[in-house]
Amino acid sequence: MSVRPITILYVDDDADIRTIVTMALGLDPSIRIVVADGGAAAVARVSAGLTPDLIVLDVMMPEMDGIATLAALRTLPQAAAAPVAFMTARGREADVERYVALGAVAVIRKPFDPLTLAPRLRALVP
Amino acid sequence: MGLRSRGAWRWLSVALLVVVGLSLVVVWLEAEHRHSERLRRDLIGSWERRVAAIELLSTLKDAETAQRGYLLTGDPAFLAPYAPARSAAERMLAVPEDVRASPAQRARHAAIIELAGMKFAEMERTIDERRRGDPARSLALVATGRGKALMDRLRVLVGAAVAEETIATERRREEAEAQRRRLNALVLAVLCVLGAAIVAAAWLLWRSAAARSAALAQAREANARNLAILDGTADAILILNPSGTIETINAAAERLLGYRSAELERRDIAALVDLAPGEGSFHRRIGLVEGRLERPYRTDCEVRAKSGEMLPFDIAMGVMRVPSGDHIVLSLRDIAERKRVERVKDELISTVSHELRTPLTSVVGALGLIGAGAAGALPEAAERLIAIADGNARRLIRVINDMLDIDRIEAGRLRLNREPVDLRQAARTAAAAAGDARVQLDLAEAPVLVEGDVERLVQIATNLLSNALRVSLDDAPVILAVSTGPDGSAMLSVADRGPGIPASFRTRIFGRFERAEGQEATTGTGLGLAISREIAVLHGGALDYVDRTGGGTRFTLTMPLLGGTGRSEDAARVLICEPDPVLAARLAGLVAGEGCASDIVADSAAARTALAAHAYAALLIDLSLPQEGGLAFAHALRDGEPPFAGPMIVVAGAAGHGEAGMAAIDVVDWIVKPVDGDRLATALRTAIARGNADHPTVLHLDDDPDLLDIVALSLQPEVRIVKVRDLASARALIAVSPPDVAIVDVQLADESGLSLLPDLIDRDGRPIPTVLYTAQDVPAEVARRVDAVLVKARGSLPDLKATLRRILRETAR
Repeated sequence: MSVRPITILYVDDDADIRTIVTMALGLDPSIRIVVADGGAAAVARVSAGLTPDLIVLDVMMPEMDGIATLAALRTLPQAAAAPVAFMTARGREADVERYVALGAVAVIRKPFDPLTLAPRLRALVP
Repeated sequence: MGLRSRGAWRWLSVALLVVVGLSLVVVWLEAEHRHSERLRRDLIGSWERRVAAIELLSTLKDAETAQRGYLLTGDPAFLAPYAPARSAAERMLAVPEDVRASPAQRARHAAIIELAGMKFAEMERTIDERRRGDPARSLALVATGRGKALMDRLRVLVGAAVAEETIATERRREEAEAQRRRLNALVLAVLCVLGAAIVAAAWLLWRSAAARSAALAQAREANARNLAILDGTADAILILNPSGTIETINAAAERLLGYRSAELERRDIAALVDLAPGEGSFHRRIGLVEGRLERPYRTDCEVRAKSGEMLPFDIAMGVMRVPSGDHIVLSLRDIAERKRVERVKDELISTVSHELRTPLTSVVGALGLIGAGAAGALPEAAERLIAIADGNARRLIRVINDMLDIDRIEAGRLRLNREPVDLRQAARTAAAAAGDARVQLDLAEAPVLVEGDVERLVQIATNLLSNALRVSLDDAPVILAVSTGPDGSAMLSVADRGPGIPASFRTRIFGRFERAEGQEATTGTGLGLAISREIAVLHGGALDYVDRTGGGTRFTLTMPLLGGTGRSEDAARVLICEPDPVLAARLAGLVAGEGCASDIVADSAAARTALAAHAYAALLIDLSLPQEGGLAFAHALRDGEPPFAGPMIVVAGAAGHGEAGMAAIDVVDWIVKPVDGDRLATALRTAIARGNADHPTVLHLDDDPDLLDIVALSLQPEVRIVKVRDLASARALIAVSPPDVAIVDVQLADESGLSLLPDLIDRDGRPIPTVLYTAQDVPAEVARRVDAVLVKARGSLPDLKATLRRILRETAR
């Protein structure tokens, strides 16, 4: 059974975690991952024509944090409707509720299990 | 009060004694005065009588001298004193004898008169003889010695009288002397008594003055002490008069709020903080009833400082009962520092958690990927080492998570994402995560559905498994079982064959950072069981343990089955009127935790349908209930539309909106969101206890709403009154929950209350005791069908009450 290939835009300022996520998602060949090291880079990628099926944003980033990045991406037609998941190392439930209120379909807490990350994210794409 | 009146009585009786004593002295003095007056009169009388007797004798002698001179000389000049002497003597003798004279004195007096008369007669005869010119004959008459004898006898009698009066005078003088001495003694005594009284009065005055000054000093000291306490305390203290006006503030209040005392005195407290919004008197708004406050503590209040800044305070209120009315003492605790510390702590926890988790993400991620072969095959030794590193990195994550969880629990911020969960699935997930061959699953065949947060339930199972695997000896299996309990609850248990729980550890086992002796060196934070139990309680469940026969321990999580337990017919049923499904689920969990069934409705229409279908022991109403609004719906229920007399718990969106109406609809508690689980559980317990309590229910059917209210007011809370205004409502109520007694009005708006009589039977088909309470006369054959007929009239309520009591007593028998 062939699975529809999807593109996930992953934005995180931590290069190590970008590598781990890239490798973890690489376990699922149907997932194409595009990484960006910050909000500006993400906006640039989407502006350059990328149409992600899912956007995964780290919350705590310098300059543009996850929420600002989301706001910027939402102004672009290619990213206006894509589901968004936040990834956070902060454990506060109030934060989680805030992200959900902002329209996040999931909040993934760090540390995550690299072996189940791909199916978890895949499940978020309709 | 008592002391003062006792003192007054003492003074009064002393004054009375003094008055009586002085009166006695006056009476005595009066008597003595009369006595001495009499003595004086007697003395004078005696003296006069003595003088009179001597004068009489002297007069007689004068007359005799005149007679003899004349007889001897025949010179009439000698006779000159005779006539005046005679008339003087007659005057003297004409003086009547003293009425108090003794018979002897009277006889003597009479004898003197007689002798004096005879003497004068004798003298005049001799004088007459001489005048006739017969001196010899007159001398012969004298020579007879009769005149001398008369005179001698008179002299004797007068001498005796004089002597007697002398003795009497002497006696009276002695008597007077005795009286004088007596008076002296009396005066002395009176002076002594008066002196003593003056000394006593002076002493009493001195003592009272001393006591007063001591009391004054004591009061001054107490006042100084209280002022020192008031001004020395770190909390701002404000004293409000009965109308909510500030009377006094302490130094801390000046310091914390920035006002000078004079600026706040006589200002309304509302200028600082809105303690009691709404209409009506301050006392009523603040909930002061009979010297007690319904809500004496307010947390996290904002108080306006002089700068206009709103400062956070916790407020405790007390009542000061003084004659000028109940004053309110406000104690404001500055919580700015606490809030700052809380913020710093939150920030720290958040930062630490972020800073620890970010590198751990890479570590765990990398180890996981390597272990899974994502970086190619590994030599066996490297694989073992990677597994060790991975296991320990995960342990580190658990420790961080435990710390965060305990912080959330302490702050009341642990939230559950409730959804239906098959406990068996949670158990499988936990067993898989444990990855230990000793774990044996013993799962029910059918799904065991509960409502809960699946992650948290897995966390409990994982915690229990982790503990069990740690203590289990050798290869002894750890059994993870999921089943349904006999009482319709869901159970997840973990049984080990470890050494068991030491007796010394049993009381502390669910405490935080607690570990059994000998386990200190082993892994774990000592938080797992504390967190697990909190999570269990939040789910409306419980976590406990028993010793296993044959050694080891079994920990069991018990939870209400989803829609399960309470469906049994005999459990009390609670209706939850809550539009928010998450909160509704949480409330349902708490209700189940109290061993009750619940039905959830999201609007008032559904609530009405549910109320018509079942008898509920208690009602939970969210004020944000759609359609009618929770408060209006609660009022409607209390007014009998539809009738509901059971306990109610109100969940309100914000503080300060309508709590004043609590009393009107008689609610068990008024809980402001976010709902505090413990408080709700307590309220539920109270409500269910009240709902189950043996308060007889009385149905009152009458079309006059005022009368319904009056009767309800006079009979509650002795009985639960359910007010209904028409036959249909009454029949509906009887069908759902038959009352113990019914009070029925005959003449309703356009129907007759009598047609309800055939419906008044309980579930066992027995007639429900009925009282006709009516304005009109009832035919005898109708009266025979009911237990009592009372005519509505002024003052008939006591009769109604007595009748109800009698009927309830008889029913109880």
